Amino acid sequence: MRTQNSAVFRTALVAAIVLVSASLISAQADQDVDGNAILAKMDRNLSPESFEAYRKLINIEPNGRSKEFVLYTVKKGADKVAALFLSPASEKGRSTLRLDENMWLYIPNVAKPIRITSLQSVVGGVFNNADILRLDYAVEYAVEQKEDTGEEYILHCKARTRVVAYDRLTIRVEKTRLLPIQIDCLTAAGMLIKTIVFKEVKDFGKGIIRPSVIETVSPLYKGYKSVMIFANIKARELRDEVFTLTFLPQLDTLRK
Amino acid sequence: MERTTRRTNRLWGLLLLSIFVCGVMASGQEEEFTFDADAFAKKAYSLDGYFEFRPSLARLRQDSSLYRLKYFDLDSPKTLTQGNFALLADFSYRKGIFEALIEPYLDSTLSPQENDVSGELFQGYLSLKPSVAFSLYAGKRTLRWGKGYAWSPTALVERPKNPNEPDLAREGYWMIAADYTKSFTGALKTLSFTPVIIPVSQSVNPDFSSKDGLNFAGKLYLLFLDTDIDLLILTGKSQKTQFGLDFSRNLRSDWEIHGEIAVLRDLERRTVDDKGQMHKGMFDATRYLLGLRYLSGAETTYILEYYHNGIGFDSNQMADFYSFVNIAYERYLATRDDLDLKAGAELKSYSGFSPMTDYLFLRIIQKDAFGILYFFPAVTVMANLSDMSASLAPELTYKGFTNFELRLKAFVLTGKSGEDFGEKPNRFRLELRVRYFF
Repeated sequence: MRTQNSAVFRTALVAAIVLVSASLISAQADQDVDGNAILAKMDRNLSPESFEAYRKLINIEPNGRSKEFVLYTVKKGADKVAALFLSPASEKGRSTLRLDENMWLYIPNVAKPIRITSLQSVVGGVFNNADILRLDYAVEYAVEQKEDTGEEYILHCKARTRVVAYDRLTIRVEKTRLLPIQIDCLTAAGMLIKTIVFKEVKDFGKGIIRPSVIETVSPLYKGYKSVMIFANIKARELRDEVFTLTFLPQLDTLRK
Repeated sequence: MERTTRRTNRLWGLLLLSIFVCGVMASGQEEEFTFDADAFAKKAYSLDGYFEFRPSLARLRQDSSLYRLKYFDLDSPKTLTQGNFALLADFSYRKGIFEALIEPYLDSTLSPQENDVSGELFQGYLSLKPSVAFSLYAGKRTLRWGKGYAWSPTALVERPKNPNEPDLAREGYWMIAADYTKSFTGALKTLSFTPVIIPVSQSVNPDFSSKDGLNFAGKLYLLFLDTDIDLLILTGKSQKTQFGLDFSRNLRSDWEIHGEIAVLRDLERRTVDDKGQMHKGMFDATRYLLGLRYLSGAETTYILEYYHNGIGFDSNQMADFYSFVNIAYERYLATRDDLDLKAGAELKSYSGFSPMTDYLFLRIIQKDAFGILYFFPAVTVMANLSDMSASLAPELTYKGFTNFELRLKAFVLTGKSGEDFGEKPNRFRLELRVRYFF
């Protein structure tokens, strides 16, 4: 009788463990899907899948001195983005292209595109190529953990590949509009590389409502700040041939 | 008196309150950033370029062969001070699918030894761009083929690159060229074809080849398995068919590898023996280059390249040339007969940038060094592996002032008599370059 009870107890215990494990795995899977869906929706709120835009980058030094750069940017789908410097004159005509994990830089005098890496900086300062040629967050990162604080989601993301500039991101997302509030960029060891703050939500027309100012600070550049201001974000259909090395020196012909 | 004191106290109070209120307002005030994108609207005309001022001081190597070739008729200068002014301007006009571009380059050199002003049309062409996949060009144009930084063996249709200044703009050739591009999904992402027609005559592209005629070149570019690959060809009346292949790919996000190989046939080369006898011969050669680019976590970029110049001279041939120059110089001192020295100066392949067969290049650049934004110190080493003579070039570049670029660069040449860098005219050179972009 005692042996029979013990066997029943063991069977019940195993069944309970299996059930609890299954429900935990299922809940984790739901959370992952949910987190990634939030990230994908946040991407679409930031820009249409294919678009053109103008951006101004301002590098601000601790003494208040600043230097400004203006770029024209085009993006198509999940893996194609290009940017052309319009100002200052010393950088004019410089253009960069990203096709999936490949990145190139074209300098007019050199007149030959060279391969660059995502960490390299085209202009100096806190911004690097990955910031200028950023693909959708959901393409580059997977959500590992999602927190719900009531007014915000906090998404803990891990890079899908090793070619991205930052191994981990912690993204604070506004729940109502699913727009980013702040992104902490971290190394694999959890060291903070930079913090990106999204400000001044603006209606760009045709349903594009998003932050128009992005401020970046980095503990590696104490006292320095970089600001990116968006203007004229418009959905635009572009041919794949725009995102090729041959067309890179001709990016300006896309501007209307 | 009491009233005056009260009024003074009240004024001080108001002043302190104002300062406090202003302080509170200022502390709560957001920085305002503005951006008027319409100010950057596209215009039909554009004019871009730079002015350059480049003073330099060189300590000369008076016993070197190339010094004797260059300065034999001067009063044996030990040092050379120069001031260079240059202007590179790009003027373009665009309307619809049509574009015209003119790029003149003006350079003037002022020094106690010589004053010189020169002007060249670097580029000047008309183009039609009916779609993003097709462009047609006619006129003078610079094509930059190859993946190498310091050298480009597969640059079949361009003027030689200066490995000390590989980023400098260079003069193009008169040509008709087109670009056709097609994108794909899959392992092959991009395919581009660039056919080129280059005429050569006494008045058009005379320095492209010594033989007149029509020449055809082509470049087939593939982005295949995340690797840039170019297949190149040059054929026609002015030379036998030449082939080239280059590639570039990222090994990791911080490592890039590139390479080039060119198979050249029936190249004409003039040599001189130690007795001063000139020889002209035709021969085949292979040139190749292998390079790496690495970006460290501290944002230091390393570029390392090995170059084999199959049409370069070996040590014996260079020794013959140096011997010929030195004998010619002794004769000039004795008789003032400069014919041999002038003939030696015409043998450009001996006095070119990389006249021998095997070279190694290393360049290290630090971004935002010492926490100074836009400050880029760098050092470049170029070594001749045959005799281990070398050039060492440290430099400091600052780009912090909008539209200005300041660069201070020194060249230190090491090598004994009879060695490649030991026979260059300079022992040491210091150069300041100030560029204003417009």
